[in-house]
Amino acid sequence: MATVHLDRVTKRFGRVTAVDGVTLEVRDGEFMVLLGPSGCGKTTALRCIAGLERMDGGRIVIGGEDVTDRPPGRRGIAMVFQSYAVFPHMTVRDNITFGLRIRKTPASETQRRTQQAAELLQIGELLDRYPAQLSGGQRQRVAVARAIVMQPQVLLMDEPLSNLDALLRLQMRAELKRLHRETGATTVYVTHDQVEALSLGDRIAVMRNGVIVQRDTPSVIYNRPASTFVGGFIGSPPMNFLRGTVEEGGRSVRVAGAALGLEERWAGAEGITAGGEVVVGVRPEAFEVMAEPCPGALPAVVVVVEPLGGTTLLTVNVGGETAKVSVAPDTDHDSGQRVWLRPLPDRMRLMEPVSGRAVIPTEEGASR
Amino acid sequence: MMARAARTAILATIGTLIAAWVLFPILLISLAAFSSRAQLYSWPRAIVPTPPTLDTILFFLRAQGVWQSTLNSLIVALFTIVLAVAIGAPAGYALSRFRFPGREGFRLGILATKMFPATVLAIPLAVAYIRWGLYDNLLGVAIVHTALALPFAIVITTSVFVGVPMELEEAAMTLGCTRLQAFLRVALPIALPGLAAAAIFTFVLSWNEVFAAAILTLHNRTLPALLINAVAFAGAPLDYRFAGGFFMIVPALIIIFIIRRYLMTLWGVTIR
Amino acid sequence: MLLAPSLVFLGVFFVYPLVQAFGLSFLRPEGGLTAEHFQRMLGDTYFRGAITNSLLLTAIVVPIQVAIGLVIALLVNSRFRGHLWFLYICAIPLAISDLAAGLIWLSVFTERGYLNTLLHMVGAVREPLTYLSAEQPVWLYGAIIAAEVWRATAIVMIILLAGLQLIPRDYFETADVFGAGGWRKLWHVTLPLLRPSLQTALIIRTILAFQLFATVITLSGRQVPVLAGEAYFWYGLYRNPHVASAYAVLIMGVSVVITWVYLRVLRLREEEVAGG
Repeated sequence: MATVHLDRVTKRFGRVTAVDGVTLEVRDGEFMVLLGPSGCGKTTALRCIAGLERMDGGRIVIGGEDVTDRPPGRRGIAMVFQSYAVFPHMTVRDNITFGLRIRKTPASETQRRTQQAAELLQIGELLDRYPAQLSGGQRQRVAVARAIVMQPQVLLMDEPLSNLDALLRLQMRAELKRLHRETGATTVYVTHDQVEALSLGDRIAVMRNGVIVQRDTPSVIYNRPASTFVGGFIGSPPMNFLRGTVEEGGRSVRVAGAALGLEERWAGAEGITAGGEVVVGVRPEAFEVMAEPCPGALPAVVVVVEPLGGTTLLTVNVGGETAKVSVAPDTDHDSGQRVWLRPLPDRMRLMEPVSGRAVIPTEEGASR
Repeated sequence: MMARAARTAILATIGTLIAAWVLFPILLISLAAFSSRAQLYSWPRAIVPTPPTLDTILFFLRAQGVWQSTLNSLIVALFTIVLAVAIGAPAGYALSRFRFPGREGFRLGILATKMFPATVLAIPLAVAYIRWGLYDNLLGVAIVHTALALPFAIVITTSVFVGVPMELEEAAMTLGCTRLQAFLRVALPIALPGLAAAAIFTFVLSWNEVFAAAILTLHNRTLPALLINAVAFAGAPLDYRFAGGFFMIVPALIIIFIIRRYLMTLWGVTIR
Repeated sequence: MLLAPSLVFLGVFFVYPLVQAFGLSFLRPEGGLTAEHFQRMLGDTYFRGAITNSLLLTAIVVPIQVAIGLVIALLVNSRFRGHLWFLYICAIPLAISDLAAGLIWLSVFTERGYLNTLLHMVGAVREPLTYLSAEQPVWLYGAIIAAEVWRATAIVMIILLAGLQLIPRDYFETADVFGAGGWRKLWHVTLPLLRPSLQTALIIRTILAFQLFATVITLSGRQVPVLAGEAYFWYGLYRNPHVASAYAVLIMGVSVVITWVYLRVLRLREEEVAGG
């Protein structure tokens, strides 16, 4: 197990820069998730770590060694592909032992590791079958087994769950988490599914247009997104963003005609100027919904009510802007109803209106 | 449903007629090949020879040069397969995997060469061969056949390798293989059936080729060259001709029958 | 790097002969450009016949093959029971060379051949009729056409079938929903969508038909001269590679013109190819 260090990694395809000077540290034994929308460069970054792409700049350091010029087979990595890439012309056993056979590992050792991996992934009875006879989920487990028998320094995974159906995905997510706990392998995991990222990652690196826009633990990313992009990408439904103006004294911000109180910590923050525009970010579940007008609450009209079983999702109109509010399932709301929404003060985030970047309250300071 | 049944009946009839139209002449030449010379020249004649005889075929096989030219045809075909696959497969692999400048141009070039068959190549090559000492040489014929087969070989190998996802080779590389090892241990075994079919297709192409073989050989003739010469100049008797025709199609038919599934996919037809 | 062998090979054994062909036809044996080979070709007694025959045969054979090939392809595509075997049977001629095809149909049309035998059996004739002689040009032609159609329709069929299978079912189903009957569907939906395949098939088939060689010789000797045959004779019999090259160049030239004509007439607009 080892650390991974991406040092100003750059990769271009023609005129498009897929990965733009990305620097990232992955600690030993950490499960690092690269998260972002399609085309953000996460898969390319992973392939650079693997050595499957020739980089236009930067270095890859694994376990303290600069592997930039080494072929994939000599970097101490193992990879699980999105399509699993299980060799169709070999049995499951031959697939799993493939890498070990290439390295001429002694038979006893090969046998032992295969046994271990098969047990870990519960594919023991499938060892003599051919991939064509397996289901998608089974094939995926073979792909993972094939990777972990190599006992790599770093395990790389490229959206391994995206080809599975929803239920299987849920199961496999838990499986992967258990696996990571038992093996303690340094893992770099690419996905566009933010639920997967929040569930699996020790830390998440959110990527957009080839750069990392925030790298933090899931809870920080969720509660203190670094920009409107991150806030809008993470969480389903995404964070609400409402436009407002900072009032005199910087103790409140006027949104949709109502004055929301601002906590002490926002007072001296950079970007908070009296009279200046600001964007208030509040997650759907961070509202207190009231039937009567109340100071510090925004007036809103319910437009759509979606009972989702565990919660009920309200689409509301706040001063011309649309917002989503998550309420308990047994509350009674109707379309057209007037409500007052009070955002929980410690769950509020402020962002700059033009750049989308978060305003950092005075108590936080830099945490990159 | 009357209309439905009637329609099916009509289609079935047309289908049967066409199938019969295809099969019937083959049946006829087979019958001719098993008829004695006397029967072939007699009048009135029976369609089915009674008794059927091997004399005609044997006469043909023992005729001067036939056995040798059959061997020659086989040798040429084998050479052609080796050359066509050895040269075409790498090209097919490259086309299926890499994006490089000039790719489209190369592709179009390949398509264009399909349009210039034997006639145009053979004659100038014959002159060149005399100069290079390749005239009347089986290798020379094989080279021309390869030139004819190469476009097909490249197109086929390209589609075969496109069917082998690059990720498989990448996975092999992450597991410790070099590029070459990944190709040999992963891509090649999977592509093998397709390549084999391509090889067989090349065989049939070479076995059947007449024009270039006739122009480029004198003493070391291939079977088609021998036959056309016999027909055009030497006034061969009927039994010779029919036995020759029969003999020419039998290997090709057997082979095509064996690889019929792959043949379809080669031409882009999906079997359902 | 991987392409090098192909490029080199084709360069030497393809491009070079092409250039050579031009060279041979235009150069004197001693050197210097001349048109005398072409003049000789044009003045030859067989030339008129050769070019007429080649064009005529092509003009007759290709449409028939396309029509029959289309019918077979449509039949196979309708997937009736046993359509796979039907497909395999119809694909048999792919394995048969033009030489063998000529010999096969020789057995039918020759004086003591199967056609006469059949006619005799049904009592239509008493004495064998001669078909393959210059005095019966229609029959002679007919035999050649029969042999070529029989042999090469399979090629057209395969190309059209592949093209048919590429057409998504949605198009046909949409037509059904709109109440289009069988013929209408064929004319308005299938054929337009088949245009690319038709074009490919037509080009390939026409060029090859234009170079018809062995079939003609086996059935008619030199009684029906064709361009490719003449090239063969000039080289093999008269030992004159120059005139033979002239013929080859002529064939090549006509092939290029034909392709160009097809590409223009069956102009493929971008949208059509994209299937939109």
